[in-house]
Amino acid sequence: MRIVKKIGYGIVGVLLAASVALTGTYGLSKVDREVYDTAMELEEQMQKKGFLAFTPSKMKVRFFNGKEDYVVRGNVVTKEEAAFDTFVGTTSKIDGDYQVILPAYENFSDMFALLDTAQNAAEGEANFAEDTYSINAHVATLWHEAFHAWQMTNWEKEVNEKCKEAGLGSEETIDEIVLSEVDSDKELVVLFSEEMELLMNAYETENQEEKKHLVTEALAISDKREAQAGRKVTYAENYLEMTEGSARYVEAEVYRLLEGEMAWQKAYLGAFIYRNGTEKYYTMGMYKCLLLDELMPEWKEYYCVTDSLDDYLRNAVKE
Amino acid sequence: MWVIMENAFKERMRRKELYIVVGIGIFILLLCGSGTGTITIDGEPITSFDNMFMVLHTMMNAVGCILAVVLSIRTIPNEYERRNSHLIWVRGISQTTYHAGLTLANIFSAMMAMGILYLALAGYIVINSRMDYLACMIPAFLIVCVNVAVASILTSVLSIKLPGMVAGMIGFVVVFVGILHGVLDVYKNIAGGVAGIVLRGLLMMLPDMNGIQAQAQNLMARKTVNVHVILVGVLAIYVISIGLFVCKKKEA
Repeated sequence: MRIVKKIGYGIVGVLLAASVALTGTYGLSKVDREVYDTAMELEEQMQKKGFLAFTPSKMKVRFFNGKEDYVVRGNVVTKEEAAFDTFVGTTSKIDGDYQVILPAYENFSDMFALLDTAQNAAEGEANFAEDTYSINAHVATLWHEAFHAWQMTNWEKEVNEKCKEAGLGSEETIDEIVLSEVDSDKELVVLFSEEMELLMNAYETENQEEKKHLVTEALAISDKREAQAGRKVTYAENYLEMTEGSARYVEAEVYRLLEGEMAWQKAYLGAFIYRNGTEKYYTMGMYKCLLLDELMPEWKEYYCVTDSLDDYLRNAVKE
Repeated sequence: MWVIMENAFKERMRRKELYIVVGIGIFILLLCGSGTGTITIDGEPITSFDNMFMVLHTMMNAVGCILAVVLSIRTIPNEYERRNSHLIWVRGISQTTYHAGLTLANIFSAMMAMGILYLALAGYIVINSRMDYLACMIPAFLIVCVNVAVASILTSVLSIKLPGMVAGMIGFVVVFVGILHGVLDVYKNIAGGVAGIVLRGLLMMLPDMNGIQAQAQNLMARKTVNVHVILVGVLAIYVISIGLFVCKKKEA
């Protein structure tokens, strides 16, 4: 009788374990498949906006679910060891190719909700953030990182050479330079904010002459900043504006296509607040790209990561 | 075993211990539930039924799990302290059967406590005329009972070998991790080093108690229920129950 009971107990355990195994979700999640498919469906529309050679569909996209990466290209999905054991949106050279690395949507969404809730709590508000990061925002992030992958695929050598030339090491060094050389210099902070305000006003105005005038004024402030900050800092700033600003521009354009004008304006064209760190260059670079669209629509044909967006704008406002 | 369980359960009822603990639980719930005007979700004050229900259900689950630990800490050690165990041994009943009976009594007491909390929640549903939620309350209650059973059986099994205080502490840690499973799941991938490794290990071993209560909510709100999360909880109960066969008191 005892043995029968033990066998019965064992069978219950085996059945339970089997049920757990059978009901578990494995492979690429439906949401991540949707994110990938939505991103790729936009390729034709995005190509019409410029950057003809930029084709995310040729890249591998890795979705990290907290354990492993699900690598997607077209209809092919493979499971691979995680490239980074952390939630991060980035690009990295793997097996000779730059690949896009993204956290699985649900993880990223939860992380943003957690961070926003924590930020609200730090500001003394009991506001639980739930829907702060949408699927479309994740699609836009995929494009942002894919753009970096494209930049590095085409200009890796040039970027490295120019970094050496300017006396820069890794990207961490750029972050440090911004913090130590720009954010701690009150005059540079004021000048940056003034330049940013002029660029935002230039984008808002519909009068072409006024627009050019404001851009010229902004470029004059940029020159002032350059004279004060020195070559190394200027290179770091230009590099950030070009790489991150143009990637933010691509990301924002994708978001605009998916969510419409109102949502795009709310998410990307809000009031500017100066904050320490590199994020401000994303915004400044994006505004410069938006202005180039209006003043010199063919700018994407000449796009090169080691150029400066200011130089493009100078050409655009030249009489 | 059933007789032992019945007696232990009846004793609980007689000693009114259960009602006092549930009373404290309801008091905590009311305390937490008041002044929600300042709490918001995505910027919206918690005044709508859906948001308020979500907050109440989440808190009720947490309170219910804590009550399960509290109600299970002393049952087995008390039996040995009062030498009741000797009355059992002379009848030739095995330790496993004895402990299993007491553990089942703990689980049923904890389920009863949760049931009383659920009745309070039913009152809230009726006041808000959301009878659609009421229709699925019993299966939803059974889902939440998985959490209660995990907390109760773990504390009971640990209390066979460990001092009550230690068993209770471990029980509380398990409940804490289980309730914050979702948050910690996100955090584990941000945190590196030893903390990250320890957290991963804990999260892998412990069921997602918040996920389980969320399935009960989904059921009542007619949303998709993730059966897997619930089954993991049931499997955890099964695995912990093996401890009843393994853990023996030296006294016997």
